[in-house]
Amino acid sequence: MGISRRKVLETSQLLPVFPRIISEILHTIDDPNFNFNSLVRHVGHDPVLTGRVFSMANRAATHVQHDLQIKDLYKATSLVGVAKLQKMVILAAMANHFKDASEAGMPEEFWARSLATGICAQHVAAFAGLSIDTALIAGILHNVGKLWLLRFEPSAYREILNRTADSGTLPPSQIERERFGVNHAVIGSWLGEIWSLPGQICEAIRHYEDPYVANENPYADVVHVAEVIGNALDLTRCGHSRVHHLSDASCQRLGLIWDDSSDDLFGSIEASIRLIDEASLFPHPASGAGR
Amino acid sequence: MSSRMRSTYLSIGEIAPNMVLAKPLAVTERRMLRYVLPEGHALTEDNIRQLVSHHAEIICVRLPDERTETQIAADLDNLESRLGKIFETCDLSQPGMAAFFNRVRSYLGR
Repeated sequence: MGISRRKVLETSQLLPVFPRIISEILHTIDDPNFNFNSLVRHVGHDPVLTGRVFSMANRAATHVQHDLQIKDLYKATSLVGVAKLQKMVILAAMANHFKDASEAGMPEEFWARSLATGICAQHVAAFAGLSIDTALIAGILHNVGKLWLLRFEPSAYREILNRTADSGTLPPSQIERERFGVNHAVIGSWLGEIWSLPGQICEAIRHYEDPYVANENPYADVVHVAEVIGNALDLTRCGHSRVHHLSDASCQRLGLIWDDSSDDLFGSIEASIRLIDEASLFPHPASGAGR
Repeated sequence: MSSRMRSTYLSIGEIAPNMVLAKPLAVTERRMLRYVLPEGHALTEDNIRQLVSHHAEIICVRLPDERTETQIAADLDNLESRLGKIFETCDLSQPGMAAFFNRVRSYLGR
């Protein structure tokens, strides 16, 4: 049976509310002062996040002054820096949201893949002079339709996962379309619309596999290229990473040329992933249950 | 052990004094150039302090490659087989895809 927008809309009421802090960040991307206070307040309400910020700030403080101990949250956040703090808040909020949204438990590889694409998208956007926060959020959400399928069509979707795992060569989207009438990207974009995310992000989620139909939305190009880089570098180390296609037009629009200078992009991405790994936000699954 | 060096990208938390920059370093904040160091510069404690203050995140340094020739050859074999699987369904006769594949292989095999 096919999946309609109406069905996704009805079932979305069973999902947790989309994190307000993400909407706030997206609406105040050009207002760093507002973001800073709002971010510090948000961090202060989350003990786990507060602990991570203090830990990162104190590590940085040892470079500045050996005996410096940071005990004030404002000092800690200013030492960490707005950009890094914003990234930590987005990652923590999205990780919690995905965890709460997947009733039967989120496959670890799912989050690892979402996160890897988000980080790659952030670096690709920085290279192209686009908003890194918009890119990070779009990248993390690119697979959210799969999370919906795992929760609301569990047996049919697991069957698809097994089929693609067995063959290794069939693009999952093609099988999803045959089975449900739509693929995970379309379902993800419907969820984005229901959560009132900006049109550019919804479109990027919908067209990351076929960015040439996205009305030259640069974030569709960013997420497309980010997903390919994440797979090519095998950032999840799960054994299931595959590259099927890379759009030349997307690379051209973003100004990406694959030469010696690409090492900066790849190297920065891997170092960022290691940094997040240290903060325990990037699981490396031993098995590949649920891609 | 060989005396070969390899360029490695490290986060600021992984940086230590005396590490040598493999590339020129330019730290920008809000699109303003804040701090610049040349390629080949050996980092001092003061440099690292400045980098932390300017919220630098990723630094490219030269580190000794402590692998033996045998380990390097084994790593390259593993890489070829991993990449063969990852790019299994790609059309590498397309110039764009071939350029991307070659760049990834060169970066991971460095």
